[in-house]
Amino acid sequence: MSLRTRRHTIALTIFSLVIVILFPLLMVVGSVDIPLREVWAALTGGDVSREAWRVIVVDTRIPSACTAALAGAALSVAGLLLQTTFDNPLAGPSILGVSTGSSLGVAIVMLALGGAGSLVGQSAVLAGALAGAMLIMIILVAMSSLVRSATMLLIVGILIGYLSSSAISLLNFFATQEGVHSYVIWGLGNFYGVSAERLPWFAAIAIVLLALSLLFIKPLNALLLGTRYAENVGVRTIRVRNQLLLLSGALTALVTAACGPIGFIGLVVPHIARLATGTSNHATLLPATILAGAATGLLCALICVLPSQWGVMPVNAITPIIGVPVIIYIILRRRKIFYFN
Amino acid sequence: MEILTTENLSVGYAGGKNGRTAVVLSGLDLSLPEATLTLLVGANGSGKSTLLRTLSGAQAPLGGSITVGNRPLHDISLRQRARLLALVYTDRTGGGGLTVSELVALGRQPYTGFIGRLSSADRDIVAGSLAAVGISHKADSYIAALSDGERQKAMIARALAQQTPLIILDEPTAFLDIASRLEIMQLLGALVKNEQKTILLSTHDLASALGVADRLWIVDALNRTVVQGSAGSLIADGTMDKVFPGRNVTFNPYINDFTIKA
Repeated sequence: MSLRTRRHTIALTIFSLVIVILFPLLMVVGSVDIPLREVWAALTGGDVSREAWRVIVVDTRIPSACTAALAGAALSVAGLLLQTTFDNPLAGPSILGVSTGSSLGVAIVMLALGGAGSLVGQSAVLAGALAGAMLIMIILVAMSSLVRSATMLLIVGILIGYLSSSAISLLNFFATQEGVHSYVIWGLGNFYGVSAERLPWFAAIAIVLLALSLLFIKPLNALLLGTRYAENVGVRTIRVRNQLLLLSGALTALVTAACGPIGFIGLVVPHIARLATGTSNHATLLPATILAGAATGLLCALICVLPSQWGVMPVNAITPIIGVPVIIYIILRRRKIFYFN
Repeated sequence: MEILTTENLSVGYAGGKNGRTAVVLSGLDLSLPEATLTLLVGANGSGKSTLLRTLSGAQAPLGGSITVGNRPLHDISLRQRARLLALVYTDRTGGGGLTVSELVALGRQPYTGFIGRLSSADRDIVAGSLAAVGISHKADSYIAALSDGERQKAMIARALAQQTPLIILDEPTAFLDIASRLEIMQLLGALVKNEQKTILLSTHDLASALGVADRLWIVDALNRTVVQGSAGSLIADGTMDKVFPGRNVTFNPYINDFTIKA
């Protein structure tokens, strides 16, 4: 085994280990202190001395940990696909206007139609987020045939994001106070939006979309050299770009619908995966990004519940703490990092 | 046997400025005989890149026809085309985080399956391509760590790994120092002799390139067309001077380059 393949294996193993360590921790840590033996009993279906403890573990901690891992992986893969598609290391789901589109959909549901968040159903929020994200993706794909340059398309995405933000501000301005409150809470991000009954659906869609991304390893690698070289080895670049846009849009929409607009994970995790594995080759990088994304999602979820007696902190208060140092490190070391230039 | 021929080809842009069609070059009856190296010579903005893009199928011709390997170019699918002609461009690309052998392996994509896994035969071809351009010792280096000359050799190795009869290069030595320019030209000449490749390249660097060129395509700037012929005869009959009409330069056959008119 060469040094390089060994480095790939070590990185993938470390990411997996972090997942394996953090997941059980999230079963134990939380705003309610539950003895270890009771957590174990709840997980294995044994006798739990208090019914409330069983409910907390089975209906809250398991779904939120699974949601955090899947959401982290989905956002990270969306970020990686967009970074390669646009040949831009700072591309990510929140920059492209997709998560803002989701937010707009949710804002319409919560502020214009529903009023207080409790009055509108979870499914309406979900539908709003999906519709908003898909609308932005369809506009981008339509623009993609008019704007051939990937950078210009990225700028179009950013501009559409601004338009959505302005619509959201207007909705907020005219909405009721309860509506604004529930929308603000949703916008802070949390991993508790997926109930135990909905978790299988959320997980199934996330896993299918993640598996679909693995089918793009070959064209993604070709795109690293730019569209002209990719076309020269037989990649239909416009079609592949549209497919990648739709896939990353669907991944982002799914997560935003369930957890709110979560920043930084999609932007930062692909860089963590590249730095750890030491490669831009998607055959290694994509699986590494999935694992690193799941690990990062779990880490954020753990930090959120650490100040246990005060309840759960919003996810978007945590992600910049992990994300910003990595981005600054990358900007400062840009000349030294292997995958630039 | 001709690898590529054009018949009354005109290239340019349909619906350019003011929606008018801009013909860049026309009346092109050109050919690339098998196992020859042809230089495309022309002034900046004379349409060299437009012609090369059209010949590679990246841009539709305005009129006339292109035949590659006895088939009309427009009948050849993108994937089949990938097995007929390989391209090398001037500018630096992304992909700095790939190793040299991973980059060269991208040239195997037209042959590999859905996920792009390399067979042992593919690996041998990659190793052979690295050896042919003389950068086997850099196989495990990152692209980002290469010099410009090594980088361009890697791109040529990538084109070789594509195992196409025809390789088209658009100013492959534009940003290289004289040593790298000469090395790359020697390398291309050797590929024609040893591997029977057919090579078409555009360049301004005649001093390095003419030594290995068999044939020339010269852009006649005044008549907006291309004159073809053997390197020796076109230099002898003064066709080279059609490259810069009305400019104070002339081709000097003793130094194989343009100089100021005496």
